[in-house]
Amino acid sequence: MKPFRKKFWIAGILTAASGIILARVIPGLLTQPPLKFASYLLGVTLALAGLAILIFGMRRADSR
Amino acid sequence: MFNFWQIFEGIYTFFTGSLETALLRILLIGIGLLLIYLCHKQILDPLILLPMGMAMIAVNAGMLVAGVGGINSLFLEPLVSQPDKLMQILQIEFLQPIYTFMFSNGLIACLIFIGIGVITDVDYLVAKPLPSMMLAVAAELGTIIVLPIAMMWGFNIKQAAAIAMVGGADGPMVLYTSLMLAKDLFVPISVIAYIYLSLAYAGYPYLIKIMIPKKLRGIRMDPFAIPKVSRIEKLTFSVIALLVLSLLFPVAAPLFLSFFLGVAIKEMAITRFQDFIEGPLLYGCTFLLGLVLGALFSIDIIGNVAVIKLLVLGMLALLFSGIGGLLGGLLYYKISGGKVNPLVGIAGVSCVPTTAKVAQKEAFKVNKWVMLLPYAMGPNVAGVITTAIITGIYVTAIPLLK
Repeated sequence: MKPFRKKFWIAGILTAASGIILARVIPGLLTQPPLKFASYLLGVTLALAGLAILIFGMRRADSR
Repeated sequence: MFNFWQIFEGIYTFFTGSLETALLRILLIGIGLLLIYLCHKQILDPLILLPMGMAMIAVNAGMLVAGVGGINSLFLEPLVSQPDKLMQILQIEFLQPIYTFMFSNGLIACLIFIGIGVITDVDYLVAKPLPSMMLAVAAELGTIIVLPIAMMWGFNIKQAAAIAMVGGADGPMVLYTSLMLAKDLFVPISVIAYIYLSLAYAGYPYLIKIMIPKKLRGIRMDPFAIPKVSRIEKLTFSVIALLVLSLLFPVAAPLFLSFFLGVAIKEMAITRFQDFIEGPLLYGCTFLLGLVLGALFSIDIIGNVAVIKLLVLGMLALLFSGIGGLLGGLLYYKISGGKVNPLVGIAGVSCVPTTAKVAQKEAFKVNKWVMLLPYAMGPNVAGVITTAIITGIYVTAIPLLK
């Protein structure tokens, strides 16, 4: 795999995975509803950002 | 004592109940006739509205005397849940099996979504994801604004979220959200949502004429300037998006699977599946959906005060979503230095492919050389994804707020 594309895959997967953990796992460990909600929203944002990094990396590698 | 008119129960039942009930039945029959007329004139899309209009006429005209002072039809009873009564009704009511086994469990919504995935082009979305998502997010204005408005109007947060999803302009998502969050309002919300979504093709052009100056509507965008996206990229995108979105929003995973499976089938060029899904499956489900929706539009479902509030809120939700989308389009026009036609913003309202066709039609009226459809499909598809995301957020996060 080309190093340029690999960088975006790794960054995208790590960001998406962090977001999924923040959104799906952490709220179960918290007790206060506002904190649960905040963790969930932040996690969703991170996960979608990770998806965007993956798509962006796919397009950048293809255009080189 | 024998009453001659009891032989013609459809007419007799007009006199057994209250005057309001009789007038409402006549009104609903009239609306059914109007829908058929508008389909004939090609003002509305007949695919869903013709079976809907015919079913509305039949279910409101064909009422029978049932029990003490009550009236009923042989079409379906959506509110029955006891298993023994349901088993009995399944063998009697004409559309009950379709409603129970396909509509109320969301199966028909998922099957239609597979069809939408197969006919959708994700090229522009994958080529330009950020502008597409920006327009799609702007076009979700209705789903966000109507939530507090519905709560102020007396609905609880779950019901308000189900009603606000009408602004997402995505029939399967509306069905799904109301099934998950507000089962008691599932039937009226679904019926109202589908009627409004069918009316969007006729209504949004007026909004466009108010908000977008004629000169801007005619801006040309070169369809050959869209970057080429390979099949493998589109396939990779659909697999990764399915994985991430399903992990994030498992309650909406069936819908994500349906849509991205359709996209994957198209990109892998499995023509046998494509032909089946595009043809018999999609049109068959659309036909049955129209029939069931029309049969649901009967006096015992619609004769409820909450329906008037739902009618107003549903209209507000779609109106605000259209306004949001067009404002997003105007912003994109400014950011691009005047190169982008702001009509692509209306395509962010995720009624695929209706709103993309509206954008193309309105641009074509001003300038016959404008080819907007390839650009409009990007935000149109992104709108499906953002609506699914908002569905997932409402269905997952709202119970967390308790």
